[in-house]
Amino acid sequence: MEFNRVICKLGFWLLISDPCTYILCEGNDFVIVTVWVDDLLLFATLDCLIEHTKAGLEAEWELTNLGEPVKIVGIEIELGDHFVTISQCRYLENILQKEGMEKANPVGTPLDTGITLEPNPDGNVGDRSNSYARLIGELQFLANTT
Amino acid sequence: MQHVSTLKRVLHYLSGTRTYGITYNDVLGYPNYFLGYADASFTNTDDLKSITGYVFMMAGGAITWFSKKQSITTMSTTEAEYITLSEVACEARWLRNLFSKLGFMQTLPTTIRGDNDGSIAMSKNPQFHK
Repeated sequence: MEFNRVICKLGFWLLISDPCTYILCEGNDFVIVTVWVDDLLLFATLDCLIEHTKAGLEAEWELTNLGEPVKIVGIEIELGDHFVTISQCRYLENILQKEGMEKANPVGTPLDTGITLEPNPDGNVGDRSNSYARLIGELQFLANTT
Repeated sequence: MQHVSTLKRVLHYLSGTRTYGITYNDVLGYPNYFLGYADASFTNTDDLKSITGYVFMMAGGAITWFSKKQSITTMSTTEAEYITLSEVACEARWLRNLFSKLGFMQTLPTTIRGDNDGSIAMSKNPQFHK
């Protein structure tokens, strides 16, 4: 709420269709700020708009400027002259390494065709403390969240 | 231990695709334009429900995608695909709203592609657009 108050004071609008995104328009130019917990990404058509926004936020909090984005929530970003590439290579390497599968033989599809998974026979008691549950969580983060 | 071996296979798959990513380019023509592809797989689950799948493409890459079991049981591929088309239309509506709020005005209609003649015919039938 605090962040919302400050950024609105700077003239930003919260998008109704994405409540983690703020926009400020000045004529044909604009700044977009996206929020992920305590990470912010700034996009602007003009450098001076980025500087202006940063100055406004720095008046309230201590900011760490990480420069051009290289990585956000596990997604790596590569900026080129006319392209942007995103990938999750390093996050994936970490998972594979932890499971000792960094040299695993690749297969063409993630799931066998025709496989039917049965519910857990020992009564479906939810246990989130084991390594299986942790790995499932990491894969869900990989596939859904990012 | 069937679940563990299934999970292992997922890791084998990811081992082969670890360097994959999505690249967005400058494209000629309509830079604000995005395109949706819709498909359904009919009664593909244990409880005979179908699965909706769609992807929206922009600037040469996928921008949003979805694959989920439908909440109701359908009786034909046409019905399953028609449900998918309506879900895709909702997403397209949201995307158009988001893009125009971000300053990328949507002056052209959004194309959604489906591969089921029955559901395409239904979506063009004026009776369903009263």
